[in-house]
Amino acid sequence: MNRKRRNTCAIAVIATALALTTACSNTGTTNNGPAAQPPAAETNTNSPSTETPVIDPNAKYDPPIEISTVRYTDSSFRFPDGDSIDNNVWTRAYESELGIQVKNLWVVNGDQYNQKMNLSIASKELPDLFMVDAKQFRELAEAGQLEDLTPLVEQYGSELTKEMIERGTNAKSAATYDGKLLAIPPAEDYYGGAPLLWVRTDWLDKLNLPEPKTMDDLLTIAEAFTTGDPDGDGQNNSYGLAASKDLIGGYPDLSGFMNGYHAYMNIWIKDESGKLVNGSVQPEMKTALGKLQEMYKSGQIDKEFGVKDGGKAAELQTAGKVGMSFGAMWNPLWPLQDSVTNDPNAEWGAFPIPSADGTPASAQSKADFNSFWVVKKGAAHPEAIIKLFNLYNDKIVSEQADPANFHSKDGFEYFKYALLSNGFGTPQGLLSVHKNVIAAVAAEDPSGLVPEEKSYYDNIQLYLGGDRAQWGTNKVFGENGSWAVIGANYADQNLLKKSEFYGAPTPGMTEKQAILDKLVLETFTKIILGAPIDSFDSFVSDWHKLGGEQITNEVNEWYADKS
Amino acid sequence: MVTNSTSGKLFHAANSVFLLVLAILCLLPLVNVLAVSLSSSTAASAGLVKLWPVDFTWKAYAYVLQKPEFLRAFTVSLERVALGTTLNMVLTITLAYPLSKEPAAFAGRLFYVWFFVVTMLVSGGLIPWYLIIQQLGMLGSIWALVLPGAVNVFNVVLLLNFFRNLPKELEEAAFVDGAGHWRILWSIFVPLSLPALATLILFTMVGHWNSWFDGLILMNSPNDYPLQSYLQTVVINRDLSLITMADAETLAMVSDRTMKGAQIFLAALPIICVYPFLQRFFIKGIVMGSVKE
Repeated sequence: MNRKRRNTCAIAVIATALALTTACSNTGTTNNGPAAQPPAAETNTNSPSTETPVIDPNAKYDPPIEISTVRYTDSSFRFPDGDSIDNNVWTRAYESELGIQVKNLWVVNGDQYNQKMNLSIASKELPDLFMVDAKQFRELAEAGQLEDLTPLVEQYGSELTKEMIERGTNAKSAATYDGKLLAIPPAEDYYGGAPLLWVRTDWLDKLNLPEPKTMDDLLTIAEAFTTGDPDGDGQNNSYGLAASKDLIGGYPDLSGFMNGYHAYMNIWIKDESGKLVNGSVQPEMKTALGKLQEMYKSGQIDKEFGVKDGGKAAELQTAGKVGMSFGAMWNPLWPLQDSVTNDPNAEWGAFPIPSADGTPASAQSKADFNSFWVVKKGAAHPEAIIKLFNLYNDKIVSEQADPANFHSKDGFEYFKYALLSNGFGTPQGLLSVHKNVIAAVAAEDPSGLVPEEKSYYDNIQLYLGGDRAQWGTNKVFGENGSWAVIGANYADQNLLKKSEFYGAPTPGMTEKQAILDKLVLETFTKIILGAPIDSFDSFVSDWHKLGGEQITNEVNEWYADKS
Repeated sequence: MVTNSTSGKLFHAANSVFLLVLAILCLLPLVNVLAVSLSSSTAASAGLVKLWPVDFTWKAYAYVLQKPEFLRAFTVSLERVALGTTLNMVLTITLAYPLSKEPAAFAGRLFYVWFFVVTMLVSGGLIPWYLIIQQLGMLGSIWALVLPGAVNVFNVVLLLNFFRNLPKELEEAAFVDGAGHWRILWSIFVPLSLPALATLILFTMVGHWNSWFDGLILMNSPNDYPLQSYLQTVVINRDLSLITMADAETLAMVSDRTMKGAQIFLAALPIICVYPFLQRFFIKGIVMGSVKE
């Protein structure tokens, strides 16, 4: 017995010893990684790009250079056998066509990217090429840690690259600091997040109600959906309007309701005098909150909305207990698709924001740009970012695009593997995707479609053939879907209220925005739950005192500087 | 202790009911997750599942168990628990032994005790912690998950007190018979401390199995995530103010509750299995270390 114990102990000791030695050897190898880099970079200092005056933007690096970067993936990234984020069609193209070997210093799952990036910035271990959000961009730009891309775009940028960068003037100015372009700006898309009104049209038919044209219609419908037993189970258990504890954002998005009263939550709008003011503290908001309070009181909004996040709120809608919601254009994919799958009779219609008075309502849209591709100051080959972007545009957007190899095929979305891909390269936007798709559906001829459009076209054909699992795609891109409504109203009639402020966060915002956001959310929730409506007035003065005034001044300074 | 008076009985009954309700409250969420994981995904996303599966199906489990990411993360976690627990226990035992001696027998004892106790009271913060691990070159390797927390001072103190309560005569007798410190530690102290050690092993295993934050921060690729870090990325609540189609498609895919439920349940399973076997030492181990005669 005793001896056996001792043997076990001996084994344990040896195991530890082994463990410690492997730890040491491991330390050695990881240290070699970064150390091996500088020599590799040095051998390339006499490449034509840095010394020769005549620059060939398409020149291939010979010998190949190595560019370090960092990436994120998520469960929607699928790779053909043997491929990975480190080795795929794009990395192979970078090497064979540009002579650039891309090395990923780290790869994380999507949501962790920002946190990991913050640590990389704090530990001064920046890769050559990386993506940052607006706050990180501002910090790095202020610290002078980013390479100026202005001359590089001039020298190396292809026509298409220049077009892509110039196309979004607001995005470009957000990527500019001190007159220098320090990042490849993201694509501008104001429609994707704008709220639409979603209504159970089969319930409308059942209760013999008109489609919502005004806010009064909407209130009537909400009441009928609550008290008229639209689901026909004989119980008073349905709600008129969906809401969650976050009040606004993607789904369910009460900003759509507020927009009906010309109130705009959390965005910067221009007042009569031409100054920028925050929509949350305008008198119109008081009216909108008053209406929401009445709806809550009469049971048209879920009693428990104040503790439910979007995912939890969606359960009611999927279960067929909610008849209306405001939300972004992608809502048919989730959560409405679940509702349609769950109930064979369920049908949802998309409507523009109804208005409370004679003036048509505008849907609000955030304008903040939150992803920038930047180059570390002192990177050996700063021009590589332009070459990579040239290649991307060449393969995806240009006339000679090769979508079957580089965009998507057989369910593999190759374009996701590319650097500078996410929202950086759809020149026409989803609105034109919608137009091309319905034109092709009408003509029953998909030959002119690009692969992305073709995949939507195929799904819509499946839906038209009776497959309700494809209902969502049809409702986003097909007839009477999200983009049809956005196109006819928000785009053609210009009924979109963009936030007028799109710069990097101001010092006041960095310091106080979080407190103000919390104040706004808490006050609004309390008012909807039944706090006296006049508490809105004291909230407005609190908001100004707690930093709102300072931020408003900064935003107006920014606005004056810009024009 | 036990009284036979009416009030005593009443108190006892009320106590039992209270604790029973508490136990049920703790159990219900787990049962709900299990029920969700065994239901059809439409029923789950409509919130119809309470404590019993609706439209019973194994689909979520079949999918999760063939998912390479899940299996890989599971292996990393097993590796971490095996390596981490061994390392922790060896270090805890070898550290607790000298510190359990009287100052007369071990001159620097007071210094060392404070040296370790200080780390319980103050810590360097996230960034310095990350920098140290980075500069020791451990980022991205399994050692980053086991070495930084290899000495748990709380566990050392627990074991140290346990060692002190062992009869001194045993040790003295062993000395007389010619045993050295190593021999006394491994042949006398360790076998006598099994209840305490079982408790510490359980603490350490559960701690290693459940920690997720270090995995997210210190690993350089999702392939190296331990199970709980991987789960965190799966079950986290998404920001719904997204605007691209790709994001929305991802959302539609990951919002499947049955899949989340199955993964949460599978991840909790090993610990649920280990608990009953080690639990009987649990209370005994903690209490025995705490009282000094």
